[in-house]
Order: sequence, then structure tokens, then C-alpha cells
Amino acid sequence: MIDQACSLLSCGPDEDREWTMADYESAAARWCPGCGDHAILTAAQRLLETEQLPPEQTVFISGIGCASRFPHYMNTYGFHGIHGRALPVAIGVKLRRPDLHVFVVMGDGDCCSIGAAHWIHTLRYNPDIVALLLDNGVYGLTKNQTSPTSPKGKASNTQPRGALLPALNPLSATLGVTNASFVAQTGDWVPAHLYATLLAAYRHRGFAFVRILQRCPQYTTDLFEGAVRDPGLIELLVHPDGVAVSELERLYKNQVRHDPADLDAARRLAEPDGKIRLGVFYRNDALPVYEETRAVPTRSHAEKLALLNTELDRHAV
Amino acid sequence: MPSEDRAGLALDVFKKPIGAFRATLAATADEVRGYLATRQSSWEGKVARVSAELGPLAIGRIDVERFATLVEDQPDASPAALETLGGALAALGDLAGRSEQLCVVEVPAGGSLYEVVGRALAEIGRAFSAARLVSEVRAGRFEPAGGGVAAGPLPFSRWTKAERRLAPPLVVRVQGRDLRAAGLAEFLDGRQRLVLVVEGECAPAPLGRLITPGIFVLQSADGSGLDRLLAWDGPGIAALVPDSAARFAHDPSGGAAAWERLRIEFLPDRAARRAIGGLSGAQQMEELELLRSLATRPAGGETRPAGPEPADAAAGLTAADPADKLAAWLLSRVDLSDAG
Amino acid sequence: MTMAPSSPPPPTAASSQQARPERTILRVPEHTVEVVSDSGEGAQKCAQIFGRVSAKMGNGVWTVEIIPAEIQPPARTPESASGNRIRIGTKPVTNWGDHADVVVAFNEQVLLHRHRLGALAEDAIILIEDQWATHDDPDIRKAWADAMEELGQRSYRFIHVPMEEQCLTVTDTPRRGKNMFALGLLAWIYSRDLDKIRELIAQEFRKKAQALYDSNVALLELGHRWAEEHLDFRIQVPAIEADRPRVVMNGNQALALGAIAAGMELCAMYPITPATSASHYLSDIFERFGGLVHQAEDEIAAAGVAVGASFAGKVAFAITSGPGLALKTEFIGLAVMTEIPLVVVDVQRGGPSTGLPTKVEQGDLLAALFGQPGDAPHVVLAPATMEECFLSMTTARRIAEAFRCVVIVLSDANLATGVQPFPRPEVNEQWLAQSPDLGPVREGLRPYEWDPERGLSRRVIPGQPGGMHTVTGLSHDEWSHVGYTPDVHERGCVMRSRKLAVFQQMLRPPLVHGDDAGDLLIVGWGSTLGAIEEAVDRAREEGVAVSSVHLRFLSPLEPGLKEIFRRFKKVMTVEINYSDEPNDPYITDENRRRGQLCWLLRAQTLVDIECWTRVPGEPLRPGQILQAIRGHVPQEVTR
Ligand SMILES: Cc1ncc(C[n+]2csc(CCOP(=O)(O)OP(=O)(O)O)c2C)c(N)n1
Ligand code: SF4
Ligand SMILES: [Mg+2]
Repeated sequence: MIDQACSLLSCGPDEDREWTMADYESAAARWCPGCGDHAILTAAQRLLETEQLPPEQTVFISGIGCASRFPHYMNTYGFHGIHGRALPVAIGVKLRRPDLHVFVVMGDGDCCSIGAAHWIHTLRYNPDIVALLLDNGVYGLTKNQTSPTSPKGKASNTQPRGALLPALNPLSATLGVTNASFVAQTGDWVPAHLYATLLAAYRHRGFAFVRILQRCPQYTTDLFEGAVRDPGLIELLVHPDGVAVSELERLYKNQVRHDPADLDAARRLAEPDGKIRLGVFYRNDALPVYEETRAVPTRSHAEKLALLNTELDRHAV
Repeated sequence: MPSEDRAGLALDVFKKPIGAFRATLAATADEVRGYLATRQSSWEGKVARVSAELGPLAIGRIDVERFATLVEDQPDASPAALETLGGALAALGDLAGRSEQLCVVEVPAGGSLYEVVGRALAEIGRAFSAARLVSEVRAGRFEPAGGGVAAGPLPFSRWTKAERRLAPPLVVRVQGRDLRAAGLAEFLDGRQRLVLVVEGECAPAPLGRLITPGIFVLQSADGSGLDRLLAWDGPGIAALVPDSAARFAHDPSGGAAAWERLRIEFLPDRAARRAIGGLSGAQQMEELELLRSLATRPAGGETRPAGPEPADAAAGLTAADPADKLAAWLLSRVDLSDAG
Repeated sequence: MTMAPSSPPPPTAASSQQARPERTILRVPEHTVEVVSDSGEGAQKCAQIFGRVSAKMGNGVWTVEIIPAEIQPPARTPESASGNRIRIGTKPVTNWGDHADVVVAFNEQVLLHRHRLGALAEDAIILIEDQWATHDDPDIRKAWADAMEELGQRSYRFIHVPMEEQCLTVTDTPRRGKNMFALGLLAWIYSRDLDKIRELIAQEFRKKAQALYDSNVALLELGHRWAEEHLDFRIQVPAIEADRPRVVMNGNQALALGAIAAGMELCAMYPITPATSASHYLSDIFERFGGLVHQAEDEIAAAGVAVGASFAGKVAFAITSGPGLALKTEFIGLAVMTEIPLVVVDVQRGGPSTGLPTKVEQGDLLAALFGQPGDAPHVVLAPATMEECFLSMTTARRIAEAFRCVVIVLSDANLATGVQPFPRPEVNEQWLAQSPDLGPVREGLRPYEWDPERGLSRRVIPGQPGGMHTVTGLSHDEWSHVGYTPDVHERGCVMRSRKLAVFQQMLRPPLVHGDDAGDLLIVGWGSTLGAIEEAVDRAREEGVAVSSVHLRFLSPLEPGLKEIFRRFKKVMTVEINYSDEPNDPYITDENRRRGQLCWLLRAQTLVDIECWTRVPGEPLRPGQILQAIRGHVPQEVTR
């Protein structure tokens, strides 16, 4: 919904063409075998295919880490930046190029530690961007250091006698920020749910934050192993306004009906109580979107010059 | 309210997208002008241009001739290509100069609404023709057969998805008896919005048959509801009708079921007996009946399939909602013979 | 006018009962005025209007702000001194001069502050509010007496002015109106055009109530009348009608307008003095031009937003000061590595750390050049005047785009807050950035298709069909594919560095101010231009064979420097940054830490360059530089 002028020469693809999965695939992914990131990559590619997003109109932006390798494996535009700073770059892109579809991929170190300020403030800005937090509870790329989301007691190379602090809960933190507009959680080992969540996130108007529980067989083998083996540990949040994947409802017997419009309930459900909840916690499509709030009409050169001269008149002696 | 004023009212509501489109034309013209300059200049011209671009601080400090060697030499465009660029630029300038008048048209008494709208959109489409020609030249894909090619009108049917989202709203003044809206369905795609300013008596629900899940449809006597059409990120049509006609708003963002989307404010008790706008009295009754049924909440379950997506209005034709089915069916039966 | 009964008659102001005093008229080529008050009493507004009206009348003008460090410092303390120095001349004025010739002081404490800083001329005429001498509070009377004793060591000429008492005849809140009264005094002394002043006041109160305008004008006229009735001198600084239209503004306003004239579309910032006022101005007007100011959550994010917008094909810049530049370091390195054009403005203040937030220093030069870990070649450009602040944005943007590189623009607090008239820029459509071509990319185009000799390559921008690739801060090849092998990394380094060499060869050697050869060459950069050249001119009048060059491009360095240096017996930089004094304890030639430009030039030219630097938190005075010149001319010549 952007009544913002652009140039007709850059208004998007000049032909209608159909995109296939292959159009979104790039270099072979180089994550460890069994790494949850592979499944997330596939889900993202499926999403793009479903939504028929032209690769040239799509940008994946990341920080640094295993997760942040993501853009290299997508045949879209990509920005593999610096550790923790994907979100400001994404805001810069979206702010002046709202025509582009912008996705951000971050690790838990990226998002919840070094980039925490940007995480909170991007929630406030609420740009129309999809952000994926690939949370493996550890620093993978730098070989096993404690992350803010490492469970207390989990040994790492920096805290060999176990993580000293209780884990930060990205869902509660996100739900606590004014203007948060879409908060969901899914897991890399439930592809149907993962895909449906990404789709809902993409279709949300505003900043869609998706925490994806991501298995790292290298360093946090056991983190989600229980939940992978025992669907009983998982509780699905179901609602027509959230994600509803009927084929999963047979496998995952624990379900709660949760209306994503209910923020208080969302905050309660996000509190750790031993259950892993997958689904849309909160969703509010009515919040103002930053790049729309800041939309300014393009000025022609002639108009700019005229305005400049008027402004110079004010300083004339 | 006289139709002049109501057309003004509609223009006022849609000031922002109309302004944005005009700015788009101007920005595109600037870009083409800049591009044309890089194509036409000699070495001296290029040095002068680069010098100007660097600004006065560079004078005496930067060797502009050397700097000019950095500026990539573009493959030389043929005279035909240059002529085409010039033509495209002129077309863009012309359209930008016509400003609001580009977005207001009138159906002459007895004329075809469908044709007038089609022609007006094709005229707006000249901008897209021009942009396409420039893109072709720029990409080196331009193969002229002889001289330059003019940026001609481009009918809506040939607009791309992106173009269908970019075009400005169109305000159409039409006599009630010439209001045959069914054919306009063809133009309701992307983010195209049409506002019909109706003069004189018209059928009670002339837009009823255009209701499909992804299309915003509004009949209003005083312009209320136009702001919601403005906000809707998809195709839509509104008619500013006389007080005797039905008033309703079908807002696709209202929900998945027809009754959630359709709000009826006023339905006349009975339609006129005589035919108007090509519709017999019976047909007019049929339209009112359609509205009534769409707006009625079905008894029982309130299951909700995934929400509709504005972009694929057509997908709505297969929607499970019985009222939607009915609407789709009615639409398919509409006689488009007067639609040219 | 009535004097307070207990007040002794002012030494030089005649009372109204007497006939108007005989007047001496002093005709001078230039004069320096200071207006100082407690913070919040509006001395700055008074001085700004005085400066502007002088510019309008055709005088050369340079103004410098006197800024207290706190928002609300305690009143009547030296720390509270707030105001401006305005130097006006017949010819263009290029710096703030040495000493104030005329001072209007709202109390003796703020005056004391200026006195202790050595800001006042030996024979300065001081118009001082006299209510404090007879104040009810004995502490205040004592403070006044003590101050007067200290001030009495100099041969200042005091004129006691009952400012408050006078203002009370027009307004109930004299504390807020004194500044206009003071403006009236100055307007009379310097024969400023009252109509023009009224116009400026009207502009000032454009958005406020008519009553406010009326009372301000009444106060102005009151001050003017008082001066006419009481003062025995007037000062004439003849003005020359300008042959070209001129504008007057401070360096930050010039930067902001320059950014617009350069076609910039986004300014990303986080508030930091002294850069902020540029973004205040932009926030006010930028959207009208289709641009916008994004206030980010911190400087890192601001840099990231600018990089993101630039990556997406829009022209963006970030504006900050030293501490913010430090935070942007990693993003600047990333922009260098990914070859995303980016302009970063650093309005320097005193450092390190929070340093002197409101005061000038040229201490960020080496940080701007070398602050980024690894090899991160980029351009550094330093405007030297307000006009150059305006023009540098266009040049910087164009260079950034042509070379796909980062350009850091180094301004400073002196330029940022100083006001100077300059020829009105003839804005040009060509300055505005061209929209990038978003057409399809030629098949097989690599995102870094480096010209093997020049390192240049064509940008591919999101939206261009067929151009999909991922830029990365990791070492990469022409395809932007990550590669850690020696050939990939070394080639990347060479290509990025080569661009700078290519650009350096496009630069012209700097012009020498003064003779082409001589005993001493002064080298400067940035805002010290006017003070250095004035000092050089004065020294040359004394017969010293001194010249100067002033650098605009610090990276790459302008060519031909060694050649120029060779023609002088001695070369010395003059800078506002820290260096060890050669004769200080422990300091040897080996361990001496030198001025930043000096360090750079020594490394680059292998010439044994001397430096004279100061960090007073204020602009250099030409007189100081003149002394330094006298002290550094090679001995055998002066002997
Ligand atoms: C400024 C900075 N600090 C530290 C690093 C080193 N570093 C790279 S990735 C990373 C953590 C990665 O963890 P996470 O974000 O969870 O991603 P994962 O590898 O687990 O996917 C760190 C600390 C860096 N590249 N830059
Ligand atoms: S270290 Fe862990 S997160 Fe990184 S690629 Fe291997 S499995 Fe995946
Ligand atoms: Mg991790």
C-alpha cells in the first residue's frame, strides 16, 4: 500500500514470468550434514516459489555466523554483512526501496547478543520485513561458545562448566517491545509448520519475527532432540489467523487454540514452562509500517532545483 | 451534489496516488533525460558534463578529462534508438504535464463506459510504452525496423503485473443510463481503482455483479467509504450514485466470508420497473437480491479458510463460500456484448 | 533614562540631561565584536542578527559561537558564558581574528571568562550591564568589585549601560529582551541598517506572535536611542557592494543544503554535537525535496541504514562526530570491502572519548584515514570554508559513485557553527544524482568485474534482472564468491587499493599561497585555512619568506607535495590537534608524537616536517600562528 513514486524504469520486472524452485537455488549449501539450516533454506525457497517473488526483487540480508551464510545459497540479491547488524541494513534497503521483498536471516548471537539493540528497535520501527532468527542456542561458526539463548548449564568453550545464566527468551523479549507486530515460533524439523509459518510471516504487513528452533548437530545435539523424538513435548498454537496445518494435527496432539490478536495470552504462552510451543503468538496487521510512515513523494529535478533556490533565498544577503 | 463537485471530491480523496503517479512520470522523464545526455554527448560534451557533476570544488583540483575516462562509454545508440528515446521522453513529459486531467474522463451521453475507460487506461499506458521502449534501448535489445518508434497507447490487457499496481486511479463521469459496469471487471486487477461519478438515475445496484472476494466495491451517495478504497491495497471500484440507489461497501479486508466483507447501508425497497443501463426491472431486482444474499450470515459454523489475497482476485472464483460461488456464477453469465 | 540613585555616574556615558556627546568616528578595515551573556539570555541571537545584517550590508563576516558545555549552567559564572564573536571587515573575513575590539557583556562574570581566555584586545571597549555594581545582594556586589579589580589590570575602556533598567521600560521580562537592546547598541555603533535588522527579526519570529516581534523591535530601537544619546564614538567598517549575490549560513547548514544539492535521498544519523544541527536543519526541510532523515538507534545502525540504502541504489549519507565515527568503523570497512558507495561526514570535536563536545579540534584525521582494521582504502576530503562544506557533498557523492568507494568528509566545530557569507551557489541539475539503471544485466556480468589495471567495476543493484548476487564482507572474488586463498584475498586488496591510486592521478597539485619557494612552508587542512593565510600574509608583510598550502584531499594525498616541499627550507604543519612540544620533559625527536597531518606527510614524503599544533578548544588565532611562524623561520635566515 505504497503511494510512493518511483521511476517507471525501475518499477519491477517488465514481464510476467513463472518462477520455479530452481530459479531460487544458488550454490550448494555448505552447512554441516544434518544442520537445521538446510531445511530452513528449502522452506524459504518454497515460500518464494509459492508467492512467485521475482529473484531480482528479493533481497536476503544477514549478519555473520553459520545462519548468516544463508543469502549465498539463495539466487536472489543478498547482503552478507557484519555480525549483528543485518537489521539496520535491511531498514536502509526497505526505507528507500519498498518495492523490494526483504528477508533477514540471523543467528542467536547475531540477533540476541551483539545486535540486540537493532532487534528491539527494528520491532519498534515495524518495517515490512521478514526476520528469521535461526536459534541453535550456541555460537556455531566460531565453534561452540555460549550464546544468550544457551540453556543454563550447557557447557561450551567459553563456559566449560556450563552456561552461567538462564537463557534469554527471544519470544518474551520480542513480545515485550512496543509495536511488535508479528511473533511466531517454529522448528526446522517440522517442515510443514516451518513453511506455513514463513508464509504467514511473509503475508503479514509489518515486521514479522520468526524464531526458528534450529538443530546444530555439531554443538547442541541434544537441545531439541527430545522434542524431535517426542511430539508430546510440543504444543501447537492453532487458530485461523495463525498457522493451521491440518496434516500436523494428527501427530501433534497437544494443541491450544490461541488467537494471535491476544497479546496477554501470547505473553503467557511465551513464558518457559517446559513445553515447546509452535505457532503464531501475536499478530497485528494494523500497526503503522515504518517505510510507509516515512514515504516521501519523489521530486523531479526541476522541482528540486526550484525548491533549492527558494531555500537559498532564505539565506540570501 | 453536482457531478463536477463529486468528481472533485473523488480527485481530492485520491490526491496522493495521483500525485505519486505524476511524480513517477517526472522522475522517469529525468532519468531518461540523463540517459539521453550520456548517449548524445561528444567527448567534449562528456568532459563538460562530468565537470558539472563534480561541482565547483573540483575546479583546479581534479583533472576532469581524466575523470571523464572513468565514465563508461555506453554502446552507441543508433539514430533510430535516439529518436525513440526522444519520443519516449516527450510522451512522458506530455503525460506528466496533463496532470490530473489524465485521471478524469467523461462518457458522452449514450457512449460506452467500457470503451471510454479502456481508452483512458490505454492513454495512461502510453507511459508504460515509453518506459518499455527506454528499457529496450538501454538493454541493447532495441531493434528498430527503420526509424524511431513512438510510445503509443497501451491497452490495459497488455499491462504487466507491476504496471497494474502503478497506474493512478481513474475518475469517470457517466450518465446513469449509460452505466453498464459488468464489462469493467476486466480492468479490476493489480491496484487499479475506478471511481464512477454517476449523473441522473441509474439502476439500484449497478456494481453488485462486480463483487468478488478480492475486489473492493463501493456504492456511495456522498463519497463516504472512498477513503477505505484508497487504503485498500488491491483493485477496486466505486460509484457515487444518486440517493435512490443502493449504498454498500464490499471491503475484501473485512474477512474471508462474503457477509463479513459486505456492509449494506441502504437497499431500495424495489427497483424501477423500467429498464435502465441495459438492465430490465427483473435484472435490477436480481442484483438487489444478490446483495442481500451476499450480506447474509449463513446460519451455523463460522469456519474460516485462509484469508484472501488481494493479488489473486481470480482465485476467489473458486472460493468455497456459497455466496461467492453465486457471485462468480452471476458474473460469468453477464452479457458482455456491449463491452466492445 | 534614569540612573540608579546610588550608582556612580558611568565614566564615559553622558547622562541624558547633557547635550549629546562629541563623537569620534573610528574608520577601520575590520573590527571584532563579542556579545556574551549567561546561557539563555540570547546573546547568540543578537550576535547572529548582527552578523547577518553586516553580511547583508556587504561586509565580510565570520562568526564563532561561544558555547557553554551545559544546557543550564549556573547564572553569573564564567562557565555560563554564551554568545558569539563576530568579525566584520571591508574585505571577506576568513577567520575569527585575534581579539575582540568591542564587547557587550551582560554581567562581569561572563566577561571575566573571556578576559581570562585572552580573548579581548588590550584596549577593548566594553559595554557592560551595570546593575550588578549596586545589586541588593552583597555577594553579587562583592563579585562585581573583585572582577572589576581583576579586569582593571588591562586598559579596557568600560562603558556602563543600565540594560535591565532600560529594558524594564518596554518589557516585564528584561532577561529575555536584553539581547535586542544590545543589538540596538551595536547597530548604532556600527551604523547598521535598522530596516534590515527589523526584517531579520521578523524572519526570526516568523512562526511566533506579532506581540513578540513588536517588543523585540521596541527593545532594538531603545538600545539604538540609548547609544545615540550616550556614546561618544562610532565605528565605521566600510562595506563593498558585492558583485555577486551571496548567501550567509553556517557550515552545518551548508553541508545540509549541499547534501540536497548533491541529490542525496537519505541522511542517517544519531544525535551528536556538533553534527546534530545539520540534521536538525535537514529534518526541517529534507522531505520537501523527497529525502528523509532517519534517526537510528545508534551510530552503528545509522551507518548500516546508509549502507543498506546505498546498496539498494539510493544515495545516502551518514553524519556524525568523533565518537560516532568510531562506532561506524566496522560498517565503513564493510562498505569498502563490498564497494558500496557511501559518504560519511565527521564534524570533528575535541577528543579522545567524549572530549570537548562543543569545541573544535582536528583530531580525527588519522582515525578517518586508518581507523578501520585491515586495509580499507577510501577517500578523505576536508572542506576549508562554509562554501566548501556546501560544495564538498556533490563532489564526494560523485567520487563515491565513480569509484564505488567510501568518502569521509571531515568538517569541524569551527565550520559547523561559524557563519560566513559566500557567493550564492548556482545550483545545477547535473549535481543531482542520476537514478541508477535498473535494466537487466548483461548475461555473465560479474558483480565485481574489475578492470585489471584500475580496479573499477560496474555496480549491480537489486532489482536488476539477471544480476542476482550476494555481497559479502568476507574476502571474495569477482563473482562475490567467498574465497580465502591467497590469490583471492590479495587480488581483492590490490583492486580496492588501485582505485585510490587511479584517483590520486586525477588530482592536481595544490596551489601555493605566497611565493613558490622560500624559507618556510606552512601546511594546513580544514577550517584553519583563513587563519593560516592571514598569518602568512602578515608575516610576508614583515618580510618573512613564508608561504602556505592547504590540502583538501587527505586520502589520497594531493600530488606534487614533495616537489613543493623541496622548494622551502623548512616545512611545518599547523593543526588543531595534539602534539608533544619538542622541549617538554622526556620528549625527544624519536619519541615525539606529532600533529596528525605532520605524521602523515612525513610518512608519505620522507621530508623532516615540523609541526605546530594547539588544542585550545577554540579556533586558532592568526596572531598565534604568526608568532609560530616567526619562531620557526629557519634561524640562519632571520639572523
Ligand atoms: C564484531 C564481531 N565480533 C565477533 C565476531 C565473531 N563471530 C562470528 S559469528 C559469531 C557468533 C555466531 O553465532 P550465531 O549468531 O548464533 O550464529 P550461528 O553460527 O550459531 O548460526 C561470532 C561471535 C565477528 N565476526 N564480528
Ligand atoms: S556448526 Fe552447527 S549451526 Fe553451524 S553449520 Fe554446523 S550444524 Fe549448522
Ligand atoms: Mg547460533
